[in-house]
Amino acid sequence: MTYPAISAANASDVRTDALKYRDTTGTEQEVNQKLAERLRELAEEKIEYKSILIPDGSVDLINAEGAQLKKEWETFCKKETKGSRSIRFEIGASIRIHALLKDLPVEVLSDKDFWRWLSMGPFCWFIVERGLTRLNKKDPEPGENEEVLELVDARFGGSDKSPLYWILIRMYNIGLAVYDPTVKDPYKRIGKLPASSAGGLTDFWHSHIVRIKHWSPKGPFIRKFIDLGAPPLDLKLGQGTELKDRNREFAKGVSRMRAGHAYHLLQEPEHLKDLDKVLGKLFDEANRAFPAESSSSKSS
Amino acid sequence: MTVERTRPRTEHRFRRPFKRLLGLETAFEEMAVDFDWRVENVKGVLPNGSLLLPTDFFAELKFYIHLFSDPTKIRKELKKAGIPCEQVEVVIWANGPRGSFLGQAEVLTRFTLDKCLEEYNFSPSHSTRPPVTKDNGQGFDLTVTALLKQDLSLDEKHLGRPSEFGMILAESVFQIRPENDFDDLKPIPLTDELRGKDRLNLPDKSWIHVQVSEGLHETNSLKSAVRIYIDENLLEIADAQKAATTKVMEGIFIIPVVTQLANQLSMDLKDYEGFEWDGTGSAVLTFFEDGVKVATGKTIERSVLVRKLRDNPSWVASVVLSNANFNIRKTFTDFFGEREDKNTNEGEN
Repeated sequence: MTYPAISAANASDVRTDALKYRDTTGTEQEVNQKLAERLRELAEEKIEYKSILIPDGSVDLINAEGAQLKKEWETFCKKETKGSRSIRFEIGASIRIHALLKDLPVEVLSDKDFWRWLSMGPFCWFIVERGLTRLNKKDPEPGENEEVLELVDARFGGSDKSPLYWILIRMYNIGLAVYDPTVKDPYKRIGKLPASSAGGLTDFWHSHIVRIKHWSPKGPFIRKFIDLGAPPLDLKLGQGTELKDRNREFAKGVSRMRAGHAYHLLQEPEHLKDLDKVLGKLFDEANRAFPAESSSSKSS
Repeated sequence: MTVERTRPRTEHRFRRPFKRLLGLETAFEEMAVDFDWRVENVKGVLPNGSLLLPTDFFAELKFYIHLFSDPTKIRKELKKAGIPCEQVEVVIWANGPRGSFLGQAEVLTRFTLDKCLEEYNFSPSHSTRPPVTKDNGQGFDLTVTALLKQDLSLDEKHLGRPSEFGMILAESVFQIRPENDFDDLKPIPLTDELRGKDRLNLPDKSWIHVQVSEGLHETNSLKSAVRIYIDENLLEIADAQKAATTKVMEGIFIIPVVTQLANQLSMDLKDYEGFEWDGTGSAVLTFFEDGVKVATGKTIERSVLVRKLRDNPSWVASVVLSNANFNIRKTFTDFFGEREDKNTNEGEN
């Protein structure tokens, strides 16, 4: 079975066309839903099929999971207040995205056109929910609202901006970082993710983990890093500053060490103790430099 | 299902974490990768010498890692540095696909140096090789890392010697790529040999050389339209800079490329006086059309663009290059493919 793909130029055209005649009547959720449907409809015509074989039924599975997550999102929205609900949902869905895609050939997973199809096809509804950004209108009419909610290319890959910021790739990488195949519940670390942007989600997860892809996602190294540095789940808005400083220092220490050490290659059970020691030392140093009260107990 | 792929090549890069241990460096430098060319399922050979291979080409490929031709040399050098052989671990790992944003890195095997000094070659079996070395037609990096297995005691006799657990003693990276990608994907380092009279015939200190192919008005791929050579040292410097500085340097590299493309396109269009462009079939014309649109904020009529390019190519090149929104990174990627991501301090909630 071949796999579907959408080129950058086509994805960008689809976005432009969909936004041009955007139907803005109804509630915000209805407006978003209509935009997502329009995007998906237009994208459907631009799909190309590439010739690397993927297991039979993979595309159906992906479409089904997209539809299932959409249902769950709708139920979730009824229960959750607006706040950071899309962040919370993104975190929860990250492990589903990773589990769904992890067994596809690496050549397919490395193809940006495939991710564009995912973003404008089965998961388009979520990209619209999560990816709409408030922008200033270029030429607002007199009296018109000067701001507009727009889907920017960098959220789904309409441009070649670093793919690490595309929403679905970011979700996949978060799933990959927490994935531990050696334990019964391989995704249990997802519970360490703070449930809102207050807990240093951007700083810790995106900057120190998702972006630093060359740590090698396999093996215990990145998981130890998460165990030590993950902000506490009950963190409230405005409490994350000390944690950010500490974790930046911690990440800096790890980066410096990476130049001369190959800890990311030490993946055997007998290495765990040594890794604990090394990362624990760096964490303690960072904690001493920037004491973060709410998490000081972690280092002991 | 078959695809056209040329034979893979390897490019060897050696890393010297400890410049003080010169003997140790030279001992490890002999590590190499050899291929077994008896690839099964070759579907044919094309006139240009490319092999027509199955899409799972790398899955079929057998490779051998040859570690040391002279084990006594490395034993001697390690002894001199006070590092017991059994405390050194050799890890062979693969990372790829090249240019991928997913960073799939997997360990193929690991053994103590003692063991690999006895067995000089390592050939991973197909079943134990990770997917990155199999389902991947874009190539991958194969890295051999020698590292310390345990902390070594501090020793006055061997000051400056690596002593911490996990420290890298030496590392060799073998970039394994299809040959055609090698030529297309990035600027080619301009070496003294390439500057020579029988090669590019360039002045001794030339730092950039751009080759543009003819018939640009009907060239479908930007990558096949242009080949850029940049001084090897300058390329290394550019890669080692912070993202912002690299961006500026890439901007400088792009200027002669865009100018030369415009000039060559002008010559091609003059040769085809009656040529009318319908918006398809030329990646280079599309590049200039988009560039002018971004720069001026207006769509230029295709007939006007063709006339301008024919009569005044420098005007078109300067318009494309001068605008503040010119996306150097995208242009660079369009021409040369992905480069390693620089760490930009971006994020979002």
